[in-house]
Amino acid sequence: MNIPAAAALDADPDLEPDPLFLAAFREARWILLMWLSCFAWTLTVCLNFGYPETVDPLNFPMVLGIPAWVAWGIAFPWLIANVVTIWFCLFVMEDADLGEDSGEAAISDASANAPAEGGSNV
Amino acid sequence: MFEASMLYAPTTFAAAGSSALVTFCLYTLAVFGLAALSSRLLKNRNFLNEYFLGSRSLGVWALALTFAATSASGGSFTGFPSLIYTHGWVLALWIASYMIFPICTMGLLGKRINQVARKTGAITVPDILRDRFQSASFALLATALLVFFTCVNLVGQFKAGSMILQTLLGENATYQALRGIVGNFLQSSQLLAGLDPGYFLCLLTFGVAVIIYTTWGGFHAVVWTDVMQGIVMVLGVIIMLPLAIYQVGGLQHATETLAQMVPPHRAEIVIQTDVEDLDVPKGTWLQTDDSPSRIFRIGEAAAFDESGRATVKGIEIVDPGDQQRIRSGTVDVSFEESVAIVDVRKSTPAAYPGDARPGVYVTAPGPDATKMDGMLPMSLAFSMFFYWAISGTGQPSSMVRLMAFKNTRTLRISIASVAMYFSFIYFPLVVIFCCSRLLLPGMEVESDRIMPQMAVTLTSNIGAGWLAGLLVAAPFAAVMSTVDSFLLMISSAVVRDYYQRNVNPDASQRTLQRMSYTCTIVVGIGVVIAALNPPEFLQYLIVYVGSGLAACFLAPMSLALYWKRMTTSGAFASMLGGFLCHLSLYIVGWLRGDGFTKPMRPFSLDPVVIGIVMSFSLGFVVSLLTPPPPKELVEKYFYTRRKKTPDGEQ
Repeated sequence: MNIPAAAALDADPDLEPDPLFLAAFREARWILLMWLSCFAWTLTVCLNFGYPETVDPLNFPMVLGIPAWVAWGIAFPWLIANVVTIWFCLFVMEDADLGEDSGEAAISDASANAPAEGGSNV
Repeated sequence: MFEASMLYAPTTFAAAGSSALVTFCLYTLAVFGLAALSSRLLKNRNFLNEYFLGSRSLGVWALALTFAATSASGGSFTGFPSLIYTHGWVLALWIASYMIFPICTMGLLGKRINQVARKTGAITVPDILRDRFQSASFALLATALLVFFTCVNLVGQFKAGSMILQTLLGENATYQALRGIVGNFLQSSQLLAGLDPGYFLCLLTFGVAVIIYTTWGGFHAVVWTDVMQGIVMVLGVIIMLPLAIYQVGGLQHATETLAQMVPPHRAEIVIQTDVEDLDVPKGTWLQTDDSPSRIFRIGEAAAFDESGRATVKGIEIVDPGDQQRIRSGTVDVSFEESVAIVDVRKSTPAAYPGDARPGVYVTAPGPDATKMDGMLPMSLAFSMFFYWAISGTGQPSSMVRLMAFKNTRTLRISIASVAMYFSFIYFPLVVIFCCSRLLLPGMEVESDRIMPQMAVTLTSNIGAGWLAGLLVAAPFAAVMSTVDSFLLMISSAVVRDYYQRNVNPDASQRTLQRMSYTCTIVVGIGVVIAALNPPEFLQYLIVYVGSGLAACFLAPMSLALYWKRMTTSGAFASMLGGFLCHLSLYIVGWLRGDGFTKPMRPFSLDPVVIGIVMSFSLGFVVSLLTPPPPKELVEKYFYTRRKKTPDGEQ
């Protein structure tokens, strides 16, 4: 969505879009895609195999003592999600300068400079 | 069918020995030690920035563990185990989106919120919104909603803290003596006459401890104790997991047994006794005289009339396996012999499955005493996957932590660490408390106490009672780490967002310091009073608050950070729309007589999904219908000056 202010700012040769904003926005879209993938996998498997009409308690399918629908629909993608998360954090997310802390802005600067009541520890 | 030799008897903390109490006291002392250390940091630093945000200096471990510990609240260690015990393996699906929770909650907003907070000098979430939208009234709205939801959540957390302490102290002689004194005091007071003295005493103890160390140490105390508490929590789970699996004879065996179990019936019975002033508390086991006897556990204390009769509600154990284990003494159940059951007025099967069909504990939607479509119908499974990961991103308590890390490397490593951390917490909890059904039958009547009771049972069975102190410290740590963060968030909202920003911008550091301390104490006391009569189901309360906060804050904050066109009117519409939509669905559910735990679910979707969708939609539409934000504001948040090269070229 283009807006007049943004159009004017884009045209200003002294300005450029904040690189951290652009990187964070790009990463946010990847993260949403990761969420969507987990969502699709887990719900597809669990809704198809976790809600049986009848259960034979003596021949219940299990993987390592875990109900099979939980093992394949939740435990397995959880493992994969961890691997992908770690890879994404270590190799895809970019480091960037967060900028200086501007303190407590003007309002706090005023209060910090205000005379303390009975002495101040600042 | 069942290997009796592999099962062990439940016990109480009294049996576990005083060593558990000593371990637990040492842990509490360590918390106070950390508060003392961090209070020293407050000297020689800007008070508000240090007290509420730790001077934006969190490193990898501090950020990871404070984030994880704050997210894993009393709900994770009391309400969640209670739900697993009651509904079985389906809770793995209920919590499944924790597989993607850390990257969503920390990665979606983390970098950007920290950058904007630094740019504007913001200390609180309303601070950021105020500066982004240049609106004091919008910041006040955010503050009011924040305080409202956080206070409601704190009530539930305080209840959890008190219940854990009660289990810990059990039959300890000093505690029992104090309980008697408090009981007499409560009886003499008109206002407090109906309260359980044990709950009251533990609530006061827990409340005083948390209020003191939070007030004393501020943000750093909260973060350092979170780090310690985070370690305690994961250690607790890692120790409990093999103990639980071993004591039920292996996970395969536990799941096979669960597959054959059927849920207890809801019952109402008439009982009689000849003994005067007999105390028959909640949780008492009773059986009929026939052979084989019918087995009941009561869910409320019996109030006998003059003829020695009382009508009580509870459960009837109908699972043949449970009955066999109880009768054979494989699990430790003692019946109250001086009370006779004279009539079974009602014994109703769970609404789902509605009959004695086995397999409900190992499949979805899971058994449910009152809901005809089970605990987690398909539509709700969809909502819950959305709820944890997406609404978790909209929690102000998480946002505050994201404003406090020192650089982006810290954020990246912390996300990876939290991902591993939660994997060691949540899935193992499902395993542990599915096993608990085999060790502790009949806990449906007080399922919120399953975690501490399980900790005591597991450790006592291996003769390591002292270890119970550490294990019970895990849920206690989870509650404490959430309570302290929320207390601080409320006082920051009042002192910074209301007082300093609106009433007295020139307030001195000393005044702000006094106000912060006073506010933390007053809020803490207020919540203790509110928690005297807490709601029954802790986890539902926490879900309500979590989803309400997400419906209010996720869309305004996300759009504020990522959408240039977002306007003040759009922000108002987004926040109010999310809040009202979410609240109205709960009110409609309540008006229909379904109570607080069953909100209206349009299209079978949870209120959090509807609330968030409504909040985003209103934010978009209203922003587009109103004049765009001023150029200076867009430039400040979304642009930067080009760096000039040494030769002057851009």
